[in-house]
Amino acid sequence: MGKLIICLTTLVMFFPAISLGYDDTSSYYKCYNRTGGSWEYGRAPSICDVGPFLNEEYVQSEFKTYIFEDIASVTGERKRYMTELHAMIKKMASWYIKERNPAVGEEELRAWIEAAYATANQESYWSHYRISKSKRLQMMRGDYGHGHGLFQVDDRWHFNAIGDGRAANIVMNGIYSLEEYYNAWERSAKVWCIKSKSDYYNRSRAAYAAYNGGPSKICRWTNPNDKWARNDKGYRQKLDAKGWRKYITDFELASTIDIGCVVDGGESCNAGAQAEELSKGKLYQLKDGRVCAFNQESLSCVESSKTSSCLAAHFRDDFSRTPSIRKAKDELIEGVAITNLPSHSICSLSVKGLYSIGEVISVNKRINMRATPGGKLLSTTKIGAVFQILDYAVEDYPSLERYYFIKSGGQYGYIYTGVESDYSAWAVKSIKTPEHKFIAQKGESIQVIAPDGISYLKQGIRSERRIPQGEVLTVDYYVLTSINSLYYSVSYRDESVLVYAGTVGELQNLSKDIVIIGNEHLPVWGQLVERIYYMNVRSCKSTSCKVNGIIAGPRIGDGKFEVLETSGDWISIRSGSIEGFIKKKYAVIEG
Amino acid sequence: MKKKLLITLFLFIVLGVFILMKAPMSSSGVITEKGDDLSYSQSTLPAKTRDIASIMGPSKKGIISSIKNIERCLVESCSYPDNDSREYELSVYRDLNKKIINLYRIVLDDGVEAEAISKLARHYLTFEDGYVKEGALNLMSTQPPSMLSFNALKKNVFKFHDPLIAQQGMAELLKYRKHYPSEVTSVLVDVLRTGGISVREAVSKDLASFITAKNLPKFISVRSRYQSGSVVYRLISMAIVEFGHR
Repeated sequence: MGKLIICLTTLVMFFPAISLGYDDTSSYYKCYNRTGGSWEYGRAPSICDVGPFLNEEYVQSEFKTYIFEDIASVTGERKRYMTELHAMIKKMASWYIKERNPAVGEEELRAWIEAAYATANQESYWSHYRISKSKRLQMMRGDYGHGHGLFQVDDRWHFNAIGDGRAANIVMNGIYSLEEYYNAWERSAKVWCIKSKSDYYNRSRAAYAAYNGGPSKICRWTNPNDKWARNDKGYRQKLDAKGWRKYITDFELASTIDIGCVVDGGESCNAGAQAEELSKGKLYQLKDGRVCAFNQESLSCVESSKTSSCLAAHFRDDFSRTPSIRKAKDELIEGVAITNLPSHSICSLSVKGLYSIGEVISVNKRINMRATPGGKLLSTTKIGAVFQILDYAVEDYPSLERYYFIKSGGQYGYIYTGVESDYSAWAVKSIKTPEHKFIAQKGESIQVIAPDGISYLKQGIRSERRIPQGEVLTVDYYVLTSINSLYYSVSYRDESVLVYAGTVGELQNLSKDIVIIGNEHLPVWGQLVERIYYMNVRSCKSTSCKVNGIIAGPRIGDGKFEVLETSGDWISIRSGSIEGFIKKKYAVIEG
Repeated sequence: MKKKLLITLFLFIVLGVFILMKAPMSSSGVITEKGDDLSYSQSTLPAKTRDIASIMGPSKKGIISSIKNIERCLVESCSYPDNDSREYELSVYRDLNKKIINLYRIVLDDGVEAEAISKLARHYLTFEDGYVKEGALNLMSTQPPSMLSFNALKKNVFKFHDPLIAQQGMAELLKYRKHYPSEVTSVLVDVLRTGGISVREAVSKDLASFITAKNLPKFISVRSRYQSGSVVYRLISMAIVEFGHR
């Protein structure tokens, strides 16, 4: 279960794009075992396997309530499904608008929720997950398979949201779509075809027209001769008829799903799994996200669910396996002592053979690298490939599956490296140079490249002095905090001091002020030419390649970067965590 | 008689302005929103075209007219595919992006800095499409900061829902952090409070460069809205740590 969570957290981080971009996605892209349906609520055709887009286990554990089961009596099942989904859409739409406009009035809130119901009706007949008679977990795919799920996220325009699983996640499908719909909703208050800001009925029609036809079509609903007027007509019919209502048996049902938790990539976001009492052998999540084990009348906690299996292994006398995490209500933990445990120490002490962040490993097998431990396949490693560990995830006590977060090629991802009994068959420590090196080891050197130098800590206190640009320092050891902030212990002026080097792992953001020096030569520095404010760094030598990041020029920043390679019209550069290419003519290379 | 003529002329102008204001759509294809001060309309674009062309040299003139021609397709029918309700408009935006990016490269290579370019960038930034905004931001990246451009950035980038555009906007915002520190802080805090859900992440990822001793309490305060395990909370925390070591 833990791996699924990381899956979501990671996708939020690595693939946050909503940007529209055309992808020539084929009809019924990755649509396996396509099954039909009927133009009725919950069963709109077609459906295809969820698996290629989202982990089925995750869907079953988090969204079971929102799966339409064809196996059951369709009439009864539709009522159950619609009642649950009604409560979920209401909660999701309400959560969203309150996040964007905390002062939203009652009238607008009601209209907004009705608009969400009508949009889901118009787009998919409230269809998303369904288990057909073949017993496969599938998801609604409309419009020749291009439209995905409840709000029909189109894979030609929103491929990022398809690839990273958001469209397949029923809550994220809604949130993703409401982002765009809300933008149109806000604009609708100011367009010529809306006479009054409080005319929420017509504002929802305008917002739908823009959502369906594009931003310039916001007043399309006023033109019955528009080629796509039938879509606006259809939306209005849904808004007026509210056909969903006849299937709902309890309009006041409160959804148990924690929308914010799903958006944050949290675990056990179904608040129905709330703990009734504290007992040994169970894991509890506090409101702030910490995960805790109850032990001898106190709670021992780690920062996040990612290391919850380490917690179970640490208190192995109390746990037979890693249990599902339950929400701990405030009243339940009132007066209970809470101790924060250092996650990295707990994991390295409790998980035999777990390699540490910064260590270099060589893999003994071809291993799939995935965006998340159980997620999308990115590439496959070669036997003997050498990587530096940037983070890890441990799953499922007592087997203690380990996944290392690495960079291979141009991508970051997780590789599985076995369990306690066979980990060395998968990967061993190596003294070779890794494909990408981000953390300097004991005895290696770093150099200060920031023009103003860098600050340092002496006995935990920030010094008034700074280490100047150009200074070369030898690393004695490195320290990682619970949020993966990296510090090097170095000798400076015959004293042992700590220098900050950024953050490693999923939220990798290394300091641009220092570089690791290779054994052979000092780094070559460069900066953007004087007139350029900032520039995109590309993933390959073409302006059509993906943007890896942005570097600032001397007009707005310190602007130094490390030049890794020069060939032809392009140079390969590194600045903190950003690596890639810029055109040589825009750079000044020093030395 | 002369007075009558003047009054008639005045009335014509007033009527003209009234008709323009009531028009459902500006001829540039951007929806005319109440109170919105659009930089361009079709009637003014040729004049501005000449300005830019004269700045950049006549050989580059073609690029401006090709941008204008594509933009016109938002109000006139052109030969873009129209197989579903959104395809036509998105195809136009995609082409518009390509042409603006071409202009950006010319402006960048020639080192052109002119208000006319900034104005053009601000105009395309008002389009409610990520593609066009991306092109506009590239163009804006070549130009010096101005209050007009800052306001355009605030309104059309950070209130939009696209995190990639916000990420690009963060680089543009660096131009303003020294000159308008409190305004920049307000933009960022507002996004973290009520911005698009994905935009909040994009902004918090690049927050470190904007934290100062003066605005630090505001970021600490806005961080408290989030759960400690959430991505935004962790990113703001990282930015604060980085600031502490600057």
